[in-house]
Amino acid sequence: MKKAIMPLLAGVLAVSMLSACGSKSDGGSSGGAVKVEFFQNKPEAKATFDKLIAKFNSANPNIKVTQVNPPDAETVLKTRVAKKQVPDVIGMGATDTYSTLSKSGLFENFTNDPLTKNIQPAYLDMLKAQTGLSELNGIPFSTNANGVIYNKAMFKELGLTVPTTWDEFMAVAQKIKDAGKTPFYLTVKDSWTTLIPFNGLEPGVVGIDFFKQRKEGTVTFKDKFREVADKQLQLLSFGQKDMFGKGYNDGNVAFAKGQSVMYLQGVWAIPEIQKANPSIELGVFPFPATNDPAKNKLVSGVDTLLTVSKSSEHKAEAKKFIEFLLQSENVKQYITEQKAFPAVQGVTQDDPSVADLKPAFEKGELVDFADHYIPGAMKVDTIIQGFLQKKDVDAYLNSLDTEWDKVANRK
Amino acid sequence: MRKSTNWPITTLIALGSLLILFPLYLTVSIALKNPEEMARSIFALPTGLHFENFANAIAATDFFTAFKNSALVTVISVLFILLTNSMVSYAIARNMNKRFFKGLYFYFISAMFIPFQIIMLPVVKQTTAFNMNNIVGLIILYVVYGLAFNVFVYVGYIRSIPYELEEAATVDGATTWGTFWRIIFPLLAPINATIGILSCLSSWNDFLLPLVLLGGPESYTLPLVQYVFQGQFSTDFNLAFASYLLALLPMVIVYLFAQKWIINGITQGAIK
Repeated sequence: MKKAIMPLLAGVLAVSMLSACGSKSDGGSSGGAVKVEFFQNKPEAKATFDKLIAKFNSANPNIKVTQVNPPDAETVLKTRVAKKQVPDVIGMGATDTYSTLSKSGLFENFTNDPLTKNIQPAYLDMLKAQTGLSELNGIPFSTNANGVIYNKAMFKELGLTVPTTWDEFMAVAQKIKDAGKTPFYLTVKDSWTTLIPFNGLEPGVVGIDFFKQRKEGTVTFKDKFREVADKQLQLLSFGQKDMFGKGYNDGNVAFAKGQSVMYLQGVWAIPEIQKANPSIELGVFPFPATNDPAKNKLVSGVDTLLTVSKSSEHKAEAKKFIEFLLQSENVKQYITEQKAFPAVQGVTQDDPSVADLKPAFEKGELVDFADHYIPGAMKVDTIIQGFLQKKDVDAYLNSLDTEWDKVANRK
Repeated sequence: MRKSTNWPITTLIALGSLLILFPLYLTVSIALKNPEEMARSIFALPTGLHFENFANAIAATDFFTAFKNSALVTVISVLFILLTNSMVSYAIARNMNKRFFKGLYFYFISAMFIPFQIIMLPVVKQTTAFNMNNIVGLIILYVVYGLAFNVFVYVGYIRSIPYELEEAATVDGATTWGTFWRIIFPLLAPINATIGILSCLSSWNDFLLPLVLLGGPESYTLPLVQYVFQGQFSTDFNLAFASYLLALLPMVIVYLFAQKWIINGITQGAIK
């Protein structure tokens, strides 16, 4: 009898000791400093933020910022909202989750906030357009861009120059093909990678305004998207043979090894390519979607935005931390280490691989990712993937229209 | 006298072991390469032997904190699962003729058909309301979630133990508790090993429940911290595989020690 109860007692004791530990760490405040929780979604940026936070904490002894960077951050953020334990400061992408949470009135309103003073106006407009709200619920911090990554050494070898119009672009691709090389390494197996040429083509050929008009019901994909579809197919003819069996990771390695001269990807792929081949000489140019260079703006969206939750008890401290992050030298440190672009004016990304994009940033000739305006439930990436396989333009445009209506009717 | 080799069976076993050894080889060799070597060829032997991958992985994941959390959760929850779930099953198995216990049995095992995703949100809300969104809450949930499957397995096994054993014990003056503890529980050893291993594996490897339940990085378990190598657009395969190897090692050791009992358990259940 006694023997039987002993392990049970030991177990109970162990658990009660554990719970004591738990409660201690829950309510601990270190020396009266205000605790601010900074929640962010990028594992790769964790170390950089740690450095910035250390700098902020030592400069502000009465505030203690801690970083939380969980896996699958958007799911965790949603459960935190369900738990009613929203973090004080949130760093996340301008994603569908951001729109949903903004519409639920979870974040502070930053319209006319002094923090937005130095931010590129194009990005502020993008955030507003994306949520469809009149108020601004986040502050753009870092941005990314997508376009055409090219192998500089191979361009030189073949005597090619960076194209600025669609016709030049196609001529360059043809020359590469004639030289027996592969112009583009396409990775259709990962459906999201098909969005990159789509996002490159859409703003120049049709324009982002289309989605607003489509919502109002004045236009259809069938009227406007034929040119986009034709150009998508044209690009396909310059791809490698096994494009339907290759994914994003294969593409990075293949381009790094020189298996194609150009690669349709965003700047986020550059560190991955350089990991596989540190000595590669590469550059990026904006996607030349039309024959009018003025229309070929750089596709660039908000990569990380910062926001404060409405329920935070330390809003002043939270805003102070954001203000600190937006200071030029800290932005510079972040974008240098993360190879991102700044949303703040007056700071530039000086990495030689992205030098071709600099003028677009300086002039603010930026346009958002088109797929940000398409409801996620439409799964436009798989629609495009199917189209690239079947190559049936009419069926493609039809399914875009019907799927859009289906999602619109659901609400 | 020499035994002749059974060639067809030997070939089959060789092929079967290849199926296990090849992925293991990939894991070990990727863990020892750097990204450049990996881009050259995934299958080739590593040339540089980058043991620093392990050190970097340990630093990036805060491995020992996570390991401690995982070990605590696994050991305590397995202990409690074995103790409590077997008691519940004993009570049910020996009272199957009563309506209440029969109902209880089907109530418990019907929980097997409910996927976790469906109860995820209520669980998160309730655990928060009870202040259970920490390691202790996680352990309690594992013990309770185990009931569905474990009751099913235990009850089946206990019913195969002859009732006469208990009658003899009663004649000798044993109480119900004494009978369970002195007679039944020792007889459950093989099935305990099976359930112990299964629940050990599932709580060690579980990702979703700790993800939505645990609050801060100081209480994260191993599957959670390993996500750090996977960004939206980048994956650090070499460090990731190094840390996977570190994380799976304890489970391999558990299996090596317990495999005798597992196999025992399977055959015992088969004969009846």
